Amino acid sequence: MTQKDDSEPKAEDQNESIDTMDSVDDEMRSLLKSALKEDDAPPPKVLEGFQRKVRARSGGKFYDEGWSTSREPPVSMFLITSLVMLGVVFAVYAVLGPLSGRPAPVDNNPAPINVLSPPQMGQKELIPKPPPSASAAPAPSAAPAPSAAPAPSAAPAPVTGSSAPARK
Amino acid sequence: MYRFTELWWDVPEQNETAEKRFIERLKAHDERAFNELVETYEARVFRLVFRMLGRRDEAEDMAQEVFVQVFKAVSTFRGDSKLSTWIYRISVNLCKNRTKYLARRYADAQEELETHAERAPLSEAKGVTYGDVARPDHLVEGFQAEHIVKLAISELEPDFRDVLILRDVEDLTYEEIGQITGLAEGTVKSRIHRARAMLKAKVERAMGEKIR
Repeated sequence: MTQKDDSEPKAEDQNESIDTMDSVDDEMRSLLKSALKEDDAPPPKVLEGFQRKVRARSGGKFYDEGWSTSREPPVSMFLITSLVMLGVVFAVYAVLGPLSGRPAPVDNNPAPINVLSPPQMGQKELIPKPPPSASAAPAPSAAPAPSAAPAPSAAPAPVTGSSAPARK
Repeated sequence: MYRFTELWWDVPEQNETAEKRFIERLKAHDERAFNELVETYEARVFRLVFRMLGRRDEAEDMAQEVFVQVFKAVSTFRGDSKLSTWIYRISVNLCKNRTKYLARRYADAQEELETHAERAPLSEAKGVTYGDVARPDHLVEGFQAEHIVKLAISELEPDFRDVLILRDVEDLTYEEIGQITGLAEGTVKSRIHRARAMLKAKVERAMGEKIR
């Protein structure tokens, strides 16, 4: 800031007379005050406009996210959210509470185990073998592959006690 | 929270440390610190620029601009003066520039002071309030006189108007005005003296009545 003393009159010389000037010019001062004091209308909210301008001019570097533009930490929002959640929990408890009770009786005794004896000779098999059908067996091709080995029997013949040589 | 309980330009000693810490936060571009700054000073900055510009819409925009300028230039703040004085200085400088711009733009649309001189006696304007006026016509006359004073202020040169408002309306000391305007204290005093004389002459001419 530059000193603009050049064009001013000799200020120091006038100091004494100027010091008494305030009281002399009381009339003018009161007029001035009353004229300008009526401008004391409620000021507008400057903060929002300031944040908007800074955000625009900084290319979104400042005041870009919601929390920084709030005037104060959203304590009331946290409080309201907590109370609402608490209310929801109590409401759910109140609705579902009467529905709850002792569990329905269930017979948990184990079912009796019926052990089956192994099949004996001459006795019918418990699970009958399915009869071989034509559709199940592959049809012989016109020129069977030479490498085709004779298929082993589907299942080994059950070894019965009578056919097996008895070891002594 | 950065809050003053006293007048905003009258920072007590115990607040100095807090102010230094606060300025550090501002220099780091702490957004919350700037929110506090704006909330603390917005009313006074707005009133100052409103008085200097005389137009509410311009003043609202100017008040925002003052804080944007503070945001941009806070890193250059050396702490030679108080933060409030620095903000005042920015406000005054921006208002000067805006006044020049508006004067050029609305030169033709300016209202003539004399057209408002309805010869209302100046004595009616002193301390006029709604409560102490018995006759409503006195109140109206008082408002007319105040309107004339406002127009006379707007016709003053910005250099004179600024110091007059800072002294007689904002009640700043000569030293503070010197810090804000960059003038020597003696210069401030003489300029205020001349500003009052010019204002007085303008008002008297408009009213056709001597101010005692």
